[in-house]
Amino acid sequence: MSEAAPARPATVLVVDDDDDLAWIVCEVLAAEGFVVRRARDGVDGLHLLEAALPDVVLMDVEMPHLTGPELSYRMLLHDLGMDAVPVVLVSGVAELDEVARRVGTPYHLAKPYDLDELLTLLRRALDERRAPNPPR
Amino acid sequence: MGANAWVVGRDRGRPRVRALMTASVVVVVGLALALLVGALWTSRTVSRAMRAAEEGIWVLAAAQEVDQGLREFHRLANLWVATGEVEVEAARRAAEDEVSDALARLGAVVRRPDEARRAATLTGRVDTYLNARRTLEARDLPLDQLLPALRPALERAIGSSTSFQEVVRANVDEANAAVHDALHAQAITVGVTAGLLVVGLAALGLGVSALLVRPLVELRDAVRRFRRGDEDVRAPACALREPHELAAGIDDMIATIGQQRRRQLEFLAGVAHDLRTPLAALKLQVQAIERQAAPVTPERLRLLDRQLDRLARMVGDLLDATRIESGHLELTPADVDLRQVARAVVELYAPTTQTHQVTLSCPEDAVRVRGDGLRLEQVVSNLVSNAIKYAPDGGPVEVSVAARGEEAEVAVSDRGVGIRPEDVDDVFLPFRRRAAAVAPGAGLGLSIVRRIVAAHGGRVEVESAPGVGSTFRVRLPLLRPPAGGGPA
Repeated sequence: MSEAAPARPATVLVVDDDDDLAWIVCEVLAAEGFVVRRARDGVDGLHLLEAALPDVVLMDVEMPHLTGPELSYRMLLHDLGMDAVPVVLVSGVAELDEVARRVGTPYHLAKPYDLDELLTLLRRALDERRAPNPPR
Repeated sequence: MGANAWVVGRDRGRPRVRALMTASVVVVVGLALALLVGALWTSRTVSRAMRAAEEGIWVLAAAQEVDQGLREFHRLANLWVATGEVEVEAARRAAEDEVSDALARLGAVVRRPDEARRAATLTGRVDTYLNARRTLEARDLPLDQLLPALRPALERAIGSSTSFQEVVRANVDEANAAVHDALHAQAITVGVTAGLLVVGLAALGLGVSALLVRPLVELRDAVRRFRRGDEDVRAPACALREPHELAAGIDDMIATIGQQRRRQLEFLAGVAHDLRTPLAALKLQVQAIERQAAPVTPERLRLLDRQLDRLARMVGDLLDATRIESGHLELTPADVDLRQVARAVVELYAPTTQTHQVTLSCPEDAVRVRGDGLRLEQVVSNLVSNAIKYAPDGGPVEVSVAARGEEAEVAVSDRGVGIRPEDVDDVFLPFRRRAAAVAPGAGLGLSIVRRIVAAHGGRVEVESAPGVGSTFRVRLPLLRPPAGGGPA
C-alpha cells in the first residue's frame, strides 16, 4: 500500500469488453481498497462517467461501439469535469505507445501485465492526476 | 487485379518471339541461299570462259603446227628437187603427212564460226599450194623456175596461216579477259552475299541479346532484388510479347506476394493481440491467488479453465486454417441432408447467446448433397459464429436451408455491422479481418468456408450493407433422389 493513503477510497472505472479479464481486475482492485465500477464498452463507459466522475479511468483500446481513444476524446469534449480525469490505457495492440501519444496520456500498460505494474501505474496516475492532453 | 488489365491493354501490338525468330531464320537462310547460288552461277561462268580460252590455245597450237609443217615441207621438197636423194624424199613425204595431220587436228579443235571459216580458207590455200607444186614438179622444172612459179601460192598459204593465227590470238586474249571478268564478278558476288550473311547473323545476335537476353537478365535481377526484400521492385518493360507477359506476370506475383506478406504481418499482430487478453486474465488470476488476494474457488478454477480453453481453441483454429490453406483438405464424402447439418449448428449456438435469436427454417423434404458432413457443419458453424460476432448488439440470426433448381442453398443472415461494398471481395481472403475492434478472431473463418465449399463444387455469395447486416449464401450441387419422382 502507498504510504500517502487517500483519505477516502479512490474510485476506478474499468472499461473493458472482456468479461473474464474485467472480473479479475475488478476483484483485485477491490481487494486493494479501490471503489471499482465496470463498463463493457466505450458507450457504456460514457454513461457511467456522466453519472459520476471516477478518480481514474482504466480503459482497453479496442472495444465495440466506442474504442478507448474515442472514449477519451469524448471525455475531453464533455466539459463536465471529465477532461480532468486521468486515463490509463491497457491493451494488447502492438503500437500501444503510439496510441497513448495520440490520446495524450502518460499512463499505459501492455497486456499481459503484472499485478504490481498495474497497481503502481494506477497509484501514479492518482498521485499525478495528469489528464489526457492530445497533441494538436 | 489492375496489373492484369495493364498486361491485356499493352501487349497486343508486341511481336511474338516465334515471329521474330521465324523472320530471322528466313532472312539468314535467304542470304545463305543467295551466297550458294551466286557462288555456283559465277563459277559456271568462270569455267565456261576458261574452257573457251583453253580451246583457243589448242586452236593456236594446231595452227602453228600447220604453219611450221608447211614451211618444213616446202624446205624438204625444194631439197629433194635439188638433190633427188631418197632419204630426203622420205622426209618430204613425212612432212606432207604432218601438214595434213595438223590440218585435220585444226579442223577437229576449231569451234568458233569465224575461226572455222578462216581454217577452211587456210586448208584450201594449203591444198592449192600442194596441187600447184605437184603439177609443176610433174613437168620436171628446175628449181630456179619452180620456186618463182610456186611463190604466189606459198605466200597466200603462209599469209592465210598468219592472219588465222592473229584472229585466234585475238580470240584467246578476249577469252582470257572474259575469264578475268568472270573471276571478278565471282569475287564481288560471293563477297557481297557473304558480307550480308555476316551482317545478318550479327544483327540476329544483337537482336536476341537486346530483345531476349537483356530482359531476362533484368528480370532475374528484379527477382533477386525482390528476394532481398525490395518490395517496390518492378519487372522491366519488354518489346516482345512473351517476355513482356512474363515480366507482367512476375510483377503481378510480386504485388500479390507483397500484399500477402503485409496481410500475414497484420494477421500475426492481430493474433498476438487476441492471445494477450486471455493471457492477461490468466496471469492476474494466478498472481492474485499467489498473494492470497483471491480465494481458490471452484468458480475461479472454472474461469481459469475457460481461459485455457479459449487459448487452446484459438491455437487449434490457427492450425486448422494453416492446414486448409496449404491445401491439405481431405473430404470423406457421403449423402448429407443439409437440414440436419444446419439444425446441429443452430442447436449448438442458440444457447450460447442471450442477445441473439438464432432461428432455423427448413423445407419438409430432405435437401441432400454429396459431401463431408463434418466439414459442411464447420462451414455453417463459421457463418453462424461470424453472424453472432459481427452483430454485437444482438438481433436475429436466421439460418435457412432450401433446394433451388439444381442447387442446395444454406443462407445465414444477421442484422450486424455489415460489410462496406469496397470490402466485399476481400472478406474471403485469408488473414483479413473486418472491424477488428468489433470481433476478435484470427480472420480465417471465411477463407476456410470458401475452401471447403469450393472443394464440394459449390460457391459462396454475400449480400451486405453497412449498418444493415449481411447474408451469406452457400450453394452446393443438389443430389437428386435416384428414382424419377423427386420433389418439385
